[in-house]
Amino acid sequence: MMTAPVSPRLWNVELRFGPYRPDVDGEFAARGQSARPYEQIFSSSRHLMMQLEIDRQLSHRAGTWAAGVSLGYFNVTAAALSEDLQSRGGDQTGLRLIPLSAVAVYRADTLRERWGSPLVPYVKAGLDCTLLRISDTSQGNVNGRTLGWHAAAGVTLDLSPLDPEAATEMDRESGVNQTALFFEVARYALDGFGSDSALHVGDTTWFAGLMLEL
Amino acid sequence: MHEHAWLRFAAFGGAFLLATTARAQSTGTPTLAASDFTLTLARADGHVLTSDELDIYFSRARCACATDLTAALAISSDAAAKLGDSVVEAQFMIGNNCSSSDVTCPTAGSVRLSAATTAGEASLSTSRIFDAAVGGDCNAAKTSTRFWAIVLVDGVPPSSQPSLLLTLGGAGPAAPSDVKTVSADQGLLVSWSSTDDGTNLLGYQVLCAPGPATASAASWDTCGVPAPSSDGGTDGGAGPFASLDPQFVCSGLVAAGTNSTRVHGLENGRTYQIAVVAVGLDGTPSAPSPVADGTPAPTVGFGDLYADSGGTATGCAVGGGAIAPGITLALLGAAAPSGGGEASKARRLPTRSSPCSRSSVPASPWSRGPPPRPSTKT
Repeated sequence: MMTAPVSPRLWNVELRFGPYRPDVDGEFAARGQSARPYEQIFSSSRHLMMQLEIDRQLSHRAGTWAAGVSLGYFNVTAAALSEDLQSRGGDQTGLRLIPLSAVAVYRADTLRERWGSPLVPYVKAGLDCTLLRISDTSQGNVNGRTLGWHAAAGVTLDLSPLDPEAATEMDRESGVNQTALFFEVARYALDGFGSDSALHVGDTTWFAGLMLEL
Repeated sequence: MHEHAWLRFAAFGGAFLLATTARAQSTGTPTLAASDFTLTLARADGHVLTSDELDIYFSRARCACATDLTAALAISSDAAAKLGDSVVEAQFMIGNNCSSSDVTCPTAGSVRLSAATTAGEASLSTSRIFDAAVGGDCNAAKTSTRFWAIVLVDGVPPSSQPSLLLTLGGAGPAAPSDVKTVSADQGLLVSWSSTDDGTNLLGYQVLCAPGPATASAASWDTCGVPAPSSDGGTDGGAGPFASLDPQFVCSGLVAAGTNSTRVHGLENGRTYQIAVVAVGLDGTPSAPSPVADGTPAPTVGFGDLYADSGGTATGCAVGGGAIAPGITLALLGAAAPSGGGEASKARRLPTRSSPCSRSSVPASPWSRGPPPRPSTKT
């Protein structure tokens, strides 16, 4: 059995990282067009998305129910194309995303409390407003936003079993009930809820990171 | 016999040392050394030149463009405590071996110190140093000299004299090399290589010929001395930039350690000759780099390509009001020029205020772009 937490469990703080590629080109594919402006400029590679999420635990009935907010950051830049659209020019162009989310979370941590399982599955769903900026050194920046939703499912790996005494001590001294690694698969549908007038910046990807329960 | 000779020599030396010490004690003169003093040279703005700066400050431009200096001599508190009623008189001198009694050096002011006055200053000009060291010849080959404070304590010289090593007439920073240009919209992306580690550089500036409509201010100062040539001679640089004419300056000062910059304000379709100049900490320019050609041309950024490909986004997918005025300055399709301040190209997104700040949202300028180009199809 795990050592019972000695401080109240109120918050979860997550810092996560994952590969991301905004699905800008999806609108063209959906229309049957072959144009791929995002891929043509930035390539098809994924780039780093980082996010910070803070959840407030609301209930511990049959698991932990929480609501929270998250803030992310994604930035990709590349040399602009020359007029022939083949070679690269001397200007830089970029796309920056700052995803803001309101999220509801359920964690099945009864597995951990009753049977001491270090693995705790969880699911999340939320609404998103992604601020975006398209930059171009030749003419300045264009700012915008895209609304949407996201859902994720993942599992946390409690690190307390590695050193239970240290975990208990950390809880007593700093109120950290649990330190865990996590991995999740997420679907970000950031397309203005299907609107044609929104830049599609969603993706289906995975994240990994560190979670602290306070 | 041999041993007796050494004993007589030692006895003589001891007697001499005792006599000298007795004389010093009888007159109350403390025994000082160069380490008891701090000798500095400061610029007119008060900045004290470090040893590294003294190695480059006295450039040829500084010779032609004389600037004021302040020579300062200070005695340490420990040494000042030993002075009692003694007086320290110091004469500033310029030369290679002014501490030798049989060498006469040009002077550059004097100070008088005592237990109550532990520091003194004298004003001079950089031209005084060049006059003394190289006869005022600003094009003389690089050389070095020393700036001395020849100290007498109650008329008795200390065991050593403080001095500073100066390097005169340095050729300035090394010229950048390997200049490359890449076309940009109404400008060029210019990159270069440099052998200088940047510690003695103010930065770099790009030269364009023909010069831009509005030239940037030159960060160097040749003071009428011919621009340095790549071989370190005095016959000026090469090509259109031989005289380092400020009308060709087409970039601001690029910080040392940065080896590329985007030049703005050029004309698309026109070929420019480009060179780069390194600027030393004292404003001395290097010779111009070898010249490279570049022709500005429009470029296609992500927003352009999205619009040209038939993208329909306006950024106002849901709701109308900007959710964070000042952050969401303008939604998609509203260009906000920055940096270069250049006019957008005709085919670019037109500049206008945010459509989401209006009650009626106009059609997306992205969707009003030209028809998709065949070459964008993959």
